[in-house]
Amino acid sequence: MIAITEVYIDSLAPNAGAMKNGRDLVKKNSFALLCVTDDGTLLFGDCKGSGSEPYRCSVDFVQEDNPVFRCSCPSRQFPCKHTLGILYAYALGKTFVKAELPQDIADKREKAEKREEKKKEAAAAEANGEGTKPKRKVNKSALIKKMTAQLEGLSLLEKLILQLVHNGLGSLDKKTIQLVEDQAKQLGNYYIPGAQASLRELVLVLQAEADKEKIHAIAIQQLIGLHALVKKGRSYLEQRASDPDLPMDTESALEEQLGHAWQLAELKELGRVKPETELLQLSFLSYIDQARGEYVDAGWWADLRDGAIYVTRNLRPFRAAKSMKEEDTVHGVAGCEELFVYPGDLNARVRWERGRYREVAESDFAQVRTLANGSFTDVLKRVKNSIKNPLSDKNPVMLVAFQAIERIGDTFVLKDAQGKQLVVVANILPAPQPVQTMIPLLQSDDLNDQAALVMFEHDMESGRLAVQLLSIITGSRMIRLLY
Amino acid sequence: MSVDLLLNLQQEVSRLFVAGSAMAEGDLRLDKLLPQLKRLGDSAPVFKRLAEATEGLLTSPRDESPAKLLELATLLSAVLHTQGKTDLPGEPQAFEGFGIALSTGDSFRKLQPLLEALTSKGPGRLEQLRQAYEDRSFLDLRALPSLGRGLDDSYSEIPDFIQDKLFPEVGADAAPVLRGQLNLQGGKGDARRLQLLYQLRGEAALETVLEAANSGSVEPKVAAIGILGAFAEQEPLILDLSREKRKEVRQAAFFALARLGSEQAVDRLFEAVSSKDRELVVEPARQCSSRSLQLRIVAHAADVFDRYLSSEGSMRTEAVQQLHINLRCLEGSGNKVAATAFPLLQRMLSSKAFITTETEAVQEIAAELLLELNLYEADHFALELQHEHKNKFIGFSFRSAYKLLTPAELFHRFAGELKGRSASARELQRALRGIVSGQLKSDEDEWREPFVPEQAWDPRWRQLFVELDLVDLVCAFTAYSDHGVSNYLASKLAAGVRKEGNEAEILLALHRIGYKYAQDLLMTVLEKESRYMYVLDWRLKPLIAALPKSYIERLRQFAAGLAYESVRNEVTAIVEAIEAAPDHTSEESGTGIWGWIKNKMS
Repeated sequence: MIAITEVYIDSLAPNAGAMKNGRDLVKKNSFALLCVTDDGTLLFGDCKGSGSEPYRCSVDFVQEDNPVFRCSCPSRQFPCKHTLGILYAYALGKTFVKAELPQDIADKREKAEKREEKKKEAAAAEANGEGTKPKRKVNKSALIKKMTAQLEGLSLLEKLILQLVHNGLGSLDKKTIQLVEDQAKQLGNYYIPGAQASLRELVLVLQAEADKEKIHAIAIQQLIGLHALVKKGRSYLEQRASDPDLPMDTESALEEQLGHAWQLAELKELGRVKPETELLQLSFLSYIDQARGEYVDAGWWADLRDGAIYVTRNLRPFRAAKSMKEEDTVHGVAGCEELFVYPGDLNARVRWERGRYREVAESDFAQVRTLANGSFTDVLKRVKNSIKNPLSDKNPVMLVAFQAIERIGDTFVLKDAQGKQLVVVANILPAPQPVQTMIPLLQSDDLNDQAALVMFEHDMESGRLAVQLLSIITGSRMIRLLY
Repeated sequence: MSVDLLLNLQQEVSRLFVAGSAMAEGDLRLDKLLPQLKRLGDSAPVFKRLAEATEGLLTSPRDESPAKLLELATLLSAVLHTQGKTDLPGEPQAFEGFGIALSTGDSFRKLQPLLEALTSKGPGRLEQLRQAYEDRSFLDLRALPSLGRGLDDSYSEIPDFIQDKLFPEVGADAAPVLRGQLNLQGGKGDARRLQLLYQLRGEAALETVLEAANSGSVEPKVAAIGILGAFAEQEPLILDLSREKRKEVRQAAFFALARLGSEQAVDRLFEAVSSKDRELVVEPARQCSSRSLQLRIVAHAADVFDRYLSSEGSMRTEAVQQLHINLRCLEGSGNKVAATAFPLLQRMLSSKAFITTETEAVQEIAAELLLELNLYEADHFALELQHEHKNKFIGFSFRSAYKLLTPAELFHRFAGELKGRSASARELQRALRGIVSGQLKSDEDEWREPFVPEQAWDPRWRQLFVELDLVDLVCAFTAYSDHGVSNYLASKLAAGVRKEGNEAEILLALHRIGYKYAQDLLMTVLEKESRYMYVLDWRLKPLIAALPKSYIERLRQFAAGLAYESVRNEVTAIVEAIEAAPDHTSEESGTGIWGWIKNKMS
């Protein structure tokens, strides 16, 4: 049986509250019964709840790396605090009584086994070429109808943009902004949620309480982006509407920007699967995307084979957030059988279904160090080339190798071997502490000849391209300046 | 330069976005840039396109202007994005890091709530810090600066916790952060930073401490002086500071001097005792371990007393106040100066001229000090005071008598004085209750029997209390085997003693002596009060738990009638425990099953 440590249980918990509540159950002695089967594959017990009957909960390790949680409580959080509590009780060394496997669990195991077998059979049959799964059929007329609606939506959006530009940002008052907001709501009927969210972003910027000039500068960039989205989107959709057999665009993130939610099956069909990869998370942040109405748990990962920097985005819409798992910082190395890569720019979004995790070793840090790009000139060229596209991600993240972190006045700079600089700014993503506070605390070794994960931003006002330091990776450890 | 031209163009484009593209047609300032763009366009295709787009905007009619402006802006933005500057003017300088070895191993879900608790306001934050302390997640480099800032929190329990629990565990690594945040002109948080710096770095932080003592604002200064009290060589500085303008600073200096205890320090403290700072110096003088200071204060008090006897009016009032100070300075060190102080106290308390209403507070302290001397003669003198000054000091006499006499002698001498409503009877009762409550002191964690030790008192007291109707004392003097008082106590319960709040004691006493209707009475009392009971007396819980199973039905009814849910839950839990308890324990005395229940409910 695998080692059940508190850290492991924490990683299973859907959120910080569940960790605390699970531990509290153990502290308060809420478990009237704690049992373990002879083979150690099943932990089960009774936990006192608010009702008269205790909750019967169990954690099944019949598949070691994929525990099954069962509980009679009505909570929608999964796994619930009771099943987590059992695990904490185990990890904290509470006494578990040896017991027979309960009949209901035995039945459930049997059923699951049968399901598994059926799946295998089906897979085998498919492999043999018999009864191949029918390729996903697309209802063409429905597709055309949808695209027509999308085009209509884009026209509506374009009209709105042109009108805004025609009248000028200076003439905007609360009432007109309200009108734009209403229009954004209306865009919901045209199957372009991505474009709709971008418009909402614009509304949020215009509503913000800040220096007018700053607001205008940002709004102009957003208008440019929206306009580009309308134009690119329209030509793409028109092309596909006239020939529905054309494959979906995977060259850029256009589909996603219009609002398509990629399914793993689609990505697989389009050949966007990277086999057998090992990823190490270099940075993590959970934030709120107000325009899209969701929490975003974002992770930045390095592919330990080729050094590509990918991003994971776990999206938790406000409405469903309570019952969804909050992602957290991952310290181990994730091994993915199949890595699904979304279309995108420098940092493609990725997902994987089942990952095996192993402890990170010093050699992994060393590997990251060797994968880092030591030529700032080269990095800058790639970044500039990417961000000049109005629809591109304006904050690419890169792994660079630096010679030293030094300072000019109060500003820190990264220097590469050729003496080329990257200026460190602090204000792209909200860090736990300002970088000016953190860097001076570090050890001299951390500041010389190491790798760093940096996020770029081009500031239109000053015309400066600067970076935020997300992490420093030395030969023996990682210093995370985000989370 | 072509970049400047681009920036100029960008400015004009931004201006038009704000003003509205409707204003673009033939715009003069934009028009001015056109020739330059065209000229550069001859050699660079990008500029050619920019020139074309600009011209398009300048010449297009109003309704086409938005598209044209966006087209120009898109092109310009793309060009500018390739022109980002990455170098800063100036030569980069290498620097030394502080070399803090703490890791950044906390996960988001651990670190973020901690930082939130440290940087926000609102409830539940201390709980968060406690949890971080428990799971060690505060030991993260990224938490350190916020921990330091948390010392400024206005909810003082948070900075207390950070200062006492968290930073000591971070250790010397925290010093650079604290030093960086320290503002010697700051407030309470900076005082804490200074204390921590000294605690973490010891004498290496002395320079900073001295700076604070010399030129800091009040709070850091006070903290600094507190630290300097440990350094004999800082005596001159502290002496100077004891004459500062702010009284907080002077008092801190007095405390530091008391700690130093040197000759000069004692001189200064003694000087302060009779100066305008005398109120400030009382506490420092009490803490000072120097016997010579106390002896001087006694001698000085004797002089003042003479002055009191020989003066009138305001001089006399002033002498009373000074005596008050002097005697208070001696509180706690009575037996160190016993031999010297006794004659003075004796003189004071036997002097008719001293026993006036004006000096009441001083008399009280003097009598208290007399007992504190712990001197046979002093106790004896206190006993003799019993009938002096209209029995004024009878309480003190009783206390000394308790030390000097056998239980029987004590009863013999004082029993008669307890009767009646005179001031001296009340005084005597107060002294008696004082001794008794000292013997009864108990709390929930440390169980002590709520009655006085039998051998310490004469058994006749109890009957006397029954006669005098002093219920609480009757209870306290009723140990296991006393059946004589059961009727009295039961009748008191029946009469309703709710106002005095003695039921719990009576019930416990009745339970102790094994009164046969005790359980019934318990139920009656509970039922009578069910409507008002908002908290269940913890002393009653073991009694309820000791009820036999036959009471379960009655208890359930009682629980159902309770108005407050929390009490109801408690009672229900006890009832369930009684029900579930193995049969044999329920017949025994309460503690067995109570221990079992407590264990279950914790």
